[in-house]
Amino acid sequence: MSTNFDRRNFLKISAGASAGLAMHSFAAAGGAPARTLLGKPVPAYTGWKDVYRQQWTWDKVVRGTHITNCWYQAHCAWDVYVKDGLVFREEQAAEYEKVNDELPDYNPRGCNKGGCFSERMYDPTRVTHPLKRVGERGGNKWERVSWDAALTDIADTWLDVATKEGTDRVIWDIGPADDYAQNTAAFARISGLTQSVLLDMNTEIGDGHRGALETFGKISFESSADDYFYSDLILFWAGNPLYTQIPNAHFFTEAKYRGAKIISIAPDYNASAIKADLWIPAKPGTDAALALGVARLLIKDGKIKPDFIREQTDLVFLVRNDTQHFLTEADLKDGGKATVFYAYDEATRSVQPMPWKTLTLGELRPALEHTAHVRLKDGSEVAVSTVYSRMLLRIEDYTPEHVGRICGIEPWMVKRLAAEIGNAKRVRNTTQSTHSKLYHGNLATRAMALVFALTGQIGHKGAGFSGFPMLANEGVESFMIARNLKELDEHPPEIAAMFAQRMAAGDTLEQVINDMSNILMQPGALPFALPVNASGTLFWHIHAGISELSDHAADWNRGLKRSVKDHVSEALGKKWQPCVPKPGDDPRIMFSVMSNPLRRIRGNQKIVEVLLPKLAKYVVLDFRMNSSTRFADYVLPVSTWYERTNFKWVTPLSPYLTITNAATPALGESKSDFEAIFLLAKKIEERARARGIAVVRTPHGLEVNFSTLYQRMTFDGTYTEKDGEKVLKHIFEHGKLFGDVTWEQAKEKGFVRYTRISNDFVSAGNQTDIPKNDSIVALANHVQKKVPYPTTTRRIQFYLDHPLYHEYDEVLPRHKDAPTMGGNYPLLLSGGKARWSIHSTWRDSRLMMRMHRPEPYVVISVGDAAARGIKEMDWVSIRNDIGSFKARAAVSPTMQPGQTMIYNGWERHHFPKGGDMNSVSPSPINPVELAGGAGQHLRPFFIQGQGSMFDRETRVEIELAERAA
Amino acid sequence: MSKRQVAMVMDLNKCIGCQTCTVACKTLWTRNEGQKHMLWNTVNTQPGQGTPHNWEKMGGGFRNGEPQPGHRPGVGDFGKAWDFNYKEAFHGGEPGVRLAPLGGEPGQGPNHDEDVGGGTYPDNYFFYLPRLCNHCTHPACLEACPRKAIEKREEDGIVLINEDHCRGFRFCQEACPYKKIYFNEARGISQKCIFCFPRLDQGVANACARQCPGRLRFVGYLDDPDGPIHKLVHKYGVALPLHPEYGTEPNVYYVPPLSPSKHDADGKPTGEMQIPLDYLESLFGKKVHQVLALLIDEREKNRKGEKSELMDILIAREWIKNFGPFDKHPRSIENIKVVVK
Repeated sequence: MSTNFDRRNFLKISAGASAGLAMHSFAAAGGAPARTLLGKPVPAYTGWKDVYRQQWTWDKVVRGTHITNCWYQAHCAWDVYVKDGLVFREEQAAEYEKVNDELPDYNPRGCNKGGCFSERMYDPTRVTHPLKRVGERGGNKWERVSWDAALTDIADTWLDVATKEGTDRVIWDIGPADDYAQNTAAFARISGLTQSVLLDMNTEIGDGHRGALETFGKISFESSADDYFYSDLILFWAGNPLYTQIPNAHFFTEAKYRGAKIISIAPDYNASAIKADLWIPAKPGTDAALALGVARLLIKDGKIKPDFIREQTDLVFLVRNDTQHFLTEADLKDGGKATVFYAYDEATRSVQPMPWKTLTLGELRPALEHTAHVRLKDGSEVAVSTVYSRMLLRIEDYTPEHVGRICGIEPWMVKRLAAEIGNAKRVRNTTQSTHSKLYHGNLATRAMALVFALTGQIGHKGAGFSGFPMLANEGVESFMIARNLKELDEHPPEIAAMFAQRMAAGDTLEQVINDMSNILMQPGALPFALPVNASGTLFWHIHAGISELSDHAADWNRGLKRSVKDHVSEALGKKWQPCVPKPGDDPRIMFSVMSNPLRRIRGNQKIVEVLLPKLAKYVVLDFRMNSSTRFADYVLPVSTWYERTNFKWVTPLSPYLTITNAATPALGESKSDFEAIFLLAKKIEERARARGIAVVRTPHGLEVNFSTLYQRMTFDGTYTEKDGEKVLKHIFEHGKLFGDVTWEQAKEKGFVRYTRISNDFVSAGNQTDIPKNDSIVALANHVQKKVPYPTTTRRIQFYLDHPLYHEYDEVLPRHKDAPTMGGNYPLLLSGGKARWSIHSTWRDSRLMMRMHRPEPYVVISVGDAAARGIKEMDWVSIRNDIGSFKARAAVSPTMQPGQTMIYNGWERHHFPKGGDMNSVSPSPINPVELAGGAGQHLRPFFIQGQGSMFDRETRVEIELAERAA
Repeated sequence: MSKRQVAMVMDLNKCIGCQTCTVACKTLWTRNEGQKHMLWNTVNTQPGQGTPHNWEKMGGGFRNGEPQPGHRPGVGDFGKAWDFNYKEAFHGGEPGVRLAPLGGEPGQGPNHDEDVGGGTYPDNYFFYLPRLCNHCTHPACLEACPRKAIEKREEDGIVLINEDHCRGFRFCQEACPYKKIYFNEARGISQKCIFCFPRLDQGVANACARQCPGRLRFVGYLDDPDGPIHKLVHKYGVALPLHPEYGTEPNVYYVPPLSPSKHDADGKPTGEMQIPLDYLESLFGKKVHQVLALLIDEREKNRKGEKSELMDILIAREWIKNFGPFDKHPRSIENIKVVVK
């Protein structure tokens, strides 16, 4: 009988597996009973139907999931089927209980990638043994080494670097392995105990949702996906949720059947636009203009909600006309606070301070449109006007005709969009990270938020503005911070005191949590060792030389007032932004843990040219060979998600913690990244003792003791490399987020619904209830319970009174033309998350490539292709001032003329030599993103406020190329 | 005639083209020798070339009850299932060598023209069409097989190729007007969708249906008046067979795709749908007009807050009810024991 072809191939390359693993084997009918090498009896052949019946049998089934960053579509509970010691397929668990009788249930979830991880985990990209490079870096030659040999070499290098150059020269580049569970516990702990540096990747990967931070003081807020079912207008604005939210997409189509309208705003006629009632094909990078045009019409047509605006926004706050700063108590009284703001009260016809411990206005009736004169403490009189009045001036030019010209759409579309929004009872948009990847995307998000705030479409069932969906667990943070077992259960006294004092003074829990995570970006800020979190974006720009791609370039229509270098020096000098290690202190060791920077980083050639030569060791931990392993000194094999028990952060869109169980032992010599990091700590301690190294002073004045590292890492042996699950249990139980459900029950079932929002660094922003029998409504705590926002004004804030925003005239949202990043070329290169991969994780899976395309391709409009003599499947060269790459042409009528598109995730090794899709992306720093400073909500903290990297709207030319090798 | 007939309805308004169905089928049934290129379930963008490429022009089926000549699709028509130079790319090949499909020019796979569709920007249109064997009431493949190796099951009308009897003459491939039969070169037999009969026999819905995240697939008996299939096909008549003119009476039905009205220069809806109706009619027959009108009306009812049983069925609040009697959890069934001598 037949054998599994793919598996057989896999076995040839896998030294760790045994033979006899065919998916089904039958003995010839009538022959003697046969036995496989595993000793199992082989059934007699009884007929072809039994072959199929046998194919759908298994030895074992466990609940599992994929601990990667599928983000919006995270996470799905699967049944993982095991036969003959191998995972042979997976099928969704599909046991989500209905939330109530009205809402569609969450079943079955899942997607095409999750449905074939069993194929991916055994495919030829899998790494099963530690590999050490032979010859030059990037030479593609390897030798197998033992874990012990690899870790010894790495540990010795670490000790050399830490003692001779500085503890902060060791860098952790963490990708989707940042599970905010087991792995995070391991690397945050080793970072804190060694003062090595964890790069915060979220803004760097282009998911920073800068505009949400600017407006709401946070990015983590999102409703549940079933809440769309309550909406009567759903906006697919700047996103393609049919690609990015596969398991949630049924809520859109089902809401549509319930009567909701869908409007898609996207330049290309994408997979989501086909489900819309109206498609508005605005040009790339013009969302701000469209939103401001809509805001103008909503105001003009009286479709706004004044009471919501008065209570929830800073639009009623007064601004001094002389200084353009907010009018504060410090202006009016000696010893007055700069954090108390004023409005004009229509009830008493006087200027009154706005409440700041609550949003409740009481008797106050702040005016929307108003200009007044106030007497300052020095006796002088100044004119003040509301933010709302200023906003009216700002948006008066955004007429439908003007907006139509900017966006390349008919003016009626602007009017229709405004009318649909103005007349809808409940409007929600879908979350998107497109704006985070546009140089002026923050302005677009702010303008969209203005539309939602003006109409009060925030914080109610079926209505809301979507931020950054993330929902994690508090428990892991105790592993980051704790010095002893007691502190695993309760905050260290220093931190507990800070929380108590701040809360007593009237700050919200959310504000204090944000400040605490900001402290973790300032090494040495507290007198004991905390993990060192640093801005990924600045790290790559400064230490990997990415900024060299744009610093010497022409202005590219950025309207720079000063050099970017000057801006960066200011931001570092004023401690607005962190860069660790400091410029000039070269990194020496970098670990990429399930992270793939050579695939991901815009301008990645600079990593090869500038960063890698500085590194004494580049160590990649992954389960598969990828763009980054190609340049590694060591590749350490990591077990896959079906080979270990773990869970990961999820999102409020699907508020179910989802647990994966070990279905099979880890293949070959692979180990979990958790275990690998603990073993590294053990080896460092062992080598430190052998070499007589103990206490080392850090550049920030702390002391690190390498001779007791493992001892402290494990809490004196309580949590060792073998105790990954014990760590999970602690994290699970610590936050009491799951009601009465025990860890054992959750593990068995594979998923469990959150009962409340976790108050951790990354998800505290959600701050809302999780009803047992209803949808989750983002920002409801602010809108319904009147809890202040964590912004400077404690309101939804549209007036950004920060020197950088004044310098660039972005104090209020506006449209700015996109910079010509890359040079003066006619085509805009845009991008998007693909249907066929989660980042690069499935991108070179042969099954996925067979079902679509096996080579990278750029989508080109019919007209642009014809003008260049380009036909479908031609090889083309995509180039600009900073680089070029080759790909296949996909000519499509869905693409807007002038726009071209390459979907995310192609590996560097997919491209012919000479460049990949990042080679044309200079990703210049946008100076306003360097903002920071005391009292500002614009400052770096976990996953936000750190500066983005931009690839959308890169300018390119495309021409026919020679056939690739 | 079989005693009963199982059927599947797919609501194209809910299909998101994610191919989870294709993957579900692939990982369960076609990973064995000779099956590399087989996708018993496919999803293609319409209008487009489909799988196998240009299958609608390959003939077969019946006209006025008479079998029609058909073309036999080759492995190339189904799209190559490429192998790749992984070893060279990662272990020892020339530095920087690209990971590429083996065998020269890759040509076009089964889903090459995904998300292309028809029309001219910005008047585009496309939708997704998932396909599998239609398990026809009047199967052309069965009639064409000289070995009588194709059976239509008495108990539920599932059409199966008996792999013990099949000798790979491939007349079935010529006869099937939907071109959903593959040829296994390694084993010299024809193979196709088995409608997951081992699962249905145990009361578990088909993998493609149960694993569909878009929740657009309904499974059940056509004669079960309480099941969604009967209601969608007979009571409301909104589920239509693909190319009814092929004369094989498919038992896979489709709820046709709605699309918004076009607009004139002032933004007024013209009433003309984005997807040309004559195109939809060419796929689903003349009934498509009344079906789309009914769907629009029922959606409007719901928008006004009125009840609509049809919309409730299509919304499928309780997903498991999409599968009629095939609602068992795969974990709950007795693992099939094959006799050991």
